[in-house]
Amino acid sequence: MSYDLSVLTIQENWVRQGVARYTADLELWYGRYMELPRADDVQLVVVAGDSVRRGSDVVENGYFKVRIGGSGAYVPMYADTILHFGGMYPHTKKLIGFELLVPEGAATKGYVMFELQFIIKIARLWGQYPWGMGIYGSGSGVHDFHPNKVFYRAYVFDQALWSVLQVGIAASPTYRGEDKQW
Amino acid sequence: MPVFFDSMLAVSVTPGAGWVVKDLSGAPWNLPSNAVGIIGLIVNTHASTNYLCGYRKYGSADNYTDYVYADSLVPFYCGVDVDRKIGLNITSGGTTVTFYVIGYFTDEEAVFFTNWYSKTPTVTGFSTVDCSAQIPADSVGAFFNFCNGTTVAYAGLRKMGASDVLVHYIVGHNGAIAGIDGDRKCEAYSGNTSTVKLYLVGYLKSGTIKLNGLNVSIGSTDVFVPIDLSLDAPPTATGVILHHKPTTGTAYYVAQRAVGSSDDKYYKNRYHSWYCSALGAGKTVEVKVSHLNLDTYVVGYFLPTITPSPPLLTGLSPGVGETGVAVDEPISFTLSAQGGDGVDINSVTVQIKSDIFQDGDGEFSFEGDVNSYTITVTHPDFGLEESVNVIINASSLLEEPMEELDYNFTTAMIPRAPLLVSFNPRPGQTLVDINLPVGFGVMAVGGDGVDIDSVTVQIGAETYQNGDPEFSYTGTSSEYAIMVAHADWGLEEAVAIKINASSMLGAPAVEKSYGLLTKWDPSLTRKGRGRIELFEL
Repeated sequence: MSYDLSVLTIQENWVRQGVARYTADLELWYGRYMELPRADDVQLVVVAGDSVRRGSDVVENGYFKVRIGGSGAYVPMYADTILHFGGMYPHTKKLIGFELLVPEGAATKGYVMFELQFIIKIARLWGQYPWGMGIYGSGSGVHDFHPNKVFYRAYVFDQALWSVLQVGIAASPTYRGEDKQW
Repeated sequence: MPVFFDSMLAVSVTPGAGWVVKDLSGAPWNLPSNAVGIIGLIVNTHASTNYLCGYRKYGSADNYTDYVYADSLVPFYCGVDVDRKIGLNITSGGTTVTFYVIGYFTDEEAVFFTNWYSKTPTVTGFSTVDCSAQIPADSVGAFFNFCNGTTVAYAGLRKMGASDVLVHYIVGHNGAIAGIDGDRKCEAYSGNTSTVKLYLVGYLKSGTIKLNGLNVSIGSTDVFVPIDLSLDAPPTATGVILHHKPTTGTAYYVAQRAVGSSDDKYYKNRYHSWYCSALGAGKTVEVKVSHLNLDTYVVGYFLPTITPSPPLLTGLSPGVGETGVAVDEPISFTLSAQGGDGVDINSVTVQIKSDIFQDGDGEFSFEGDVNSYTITVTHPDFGLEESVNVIINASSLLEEPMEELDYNFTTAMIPRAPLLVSFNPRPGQTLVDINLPVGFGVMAVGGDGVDIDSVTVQIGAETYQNGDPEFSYTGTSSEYAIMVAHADWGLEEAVAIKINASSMLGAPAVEKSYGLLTKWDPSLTRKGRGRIELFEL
């Protein structure tokens, strides 16, 4: 593997309604080779636009799911879902995985894209007691760094479009049978 | 307390001379000026003839005589006047009858009336004998003459409220002693109200009379058997009143004496006798009987005039409020007599939680005597960290209760695992200096302290513990701050750390296992804002 280039866009083609599409786990790094304060929390929110193509249907219905750590359940991401990665020291990583499952007949089809916003939260010391106990703010006393954004983009086929596509696939000289489509 | 002679002293009386006045102030009796009455014994050694006899305080108008049966003995109690004179009477021909003086009472412990008061029961069965008109408050017993001529009739005496039914025949004279209650009453049994006579002779001011007799019957015949009363007699007791009574209608032989005395008047007991003797060393008295059907009971003891004093409790273990007590530790303490009054072991109760233990229970054991008992009570194991309530009560032999001791102690703590806290560097930390010591805290939970010697810190392949030069700490067993130095780590080294600790009672903490990452070579550092980056695997 290479750390030369970070992932800015996740592109999933040939996504079929009714079939889950998993993205291979990615490494999520905070402050790789950077001397930074510890992030008290790293959060993920999914930001969609107001059209189906911009992912409104996906976040309204939780079609897009995320899991942390390479195992466990995928968490459906709605518009108001905040996924917490917990505290991270700089130059540490966690695994992150995605699932997109658009049910058959859903409005989401064709090109759909939305934004994954990663937010670093660092508590800011705002006061100190004489005996030295640090008091950390949890509201206004928290630094939010400008979110790091990654785009998720998929091309989703509905059943009708898929049928047309299937005819073409079956006619293809490289077609190897119904069960070898993917 | 009465004075007992080493050997009983005979008083010669001419039979048939009527009331013979005897002056007991001279030798060999030498009754002192404060003597008020005697403990006497009449013996008739004739094999077959009964003789009428009488005794009275000099100056008395009493003219009562009754039989002393053949081959029999009769203990009696009779006053003497200020000149220690007594009137004695043996009927004509009674040369085999002898009066003896066993000892005497002084004015401190007894009063004898000049003339007797008739208390003869007027109903058969037990009836109350009310002596309140004659005996002052705070007296402990009454002297009687309990007589019945030549026909046998059932009779008995007991303290008011007693459950004893020590009833059997009497004939002729019988000197008797009965305990009286606060109202100066006792109970007498009469089987024949026309023949059984009861006369109040005097009263006992000091001493103790039991509510019910204590059966101390001996198990051998025709030999003197010492009866050890050390567990029953108050430590200051100098004499004992025994009551002999057969269980059948036969008159058996009986003799009684203090240990060390050579007295051996071994004649028939018809059928009750209330017989007094000095208590010898070790609170023993000797009794001889001709048949095991003759029972012996302790009626009471002669005591110096002492104030009832409660036992003194010392040496309590576990102590009041003690903590960390073993769950199987017995309760033990010492009860000591105070002011001459003894400890009544039968009065001792030890309530442990809801269970009450006392003498006779398998868990209850003791050592010592009435002067001082050391008592130990075992019990089923307590729980850990249990607050155990114990209530101890005891009374003296004179029934003076000590103040109830009601206290608690707490058993040993439940082992509680300590907590490992405040890790520095923190688990998962990066950019850690390669020579930063590993620090953390160990906190005790619930009072079970941290065992510093149980703390082990494994850093990489090395394990450090107390005693190693790299291992240092501050604090106490309730909380330690621990710091472990180590050889420098490498740059960008993933260091694995495992920490273990246990409490003083051996409860292990949850092992803390974590990693950290040391700093990298400064040349690798990138500039920029803090950010999240995703990389493909």
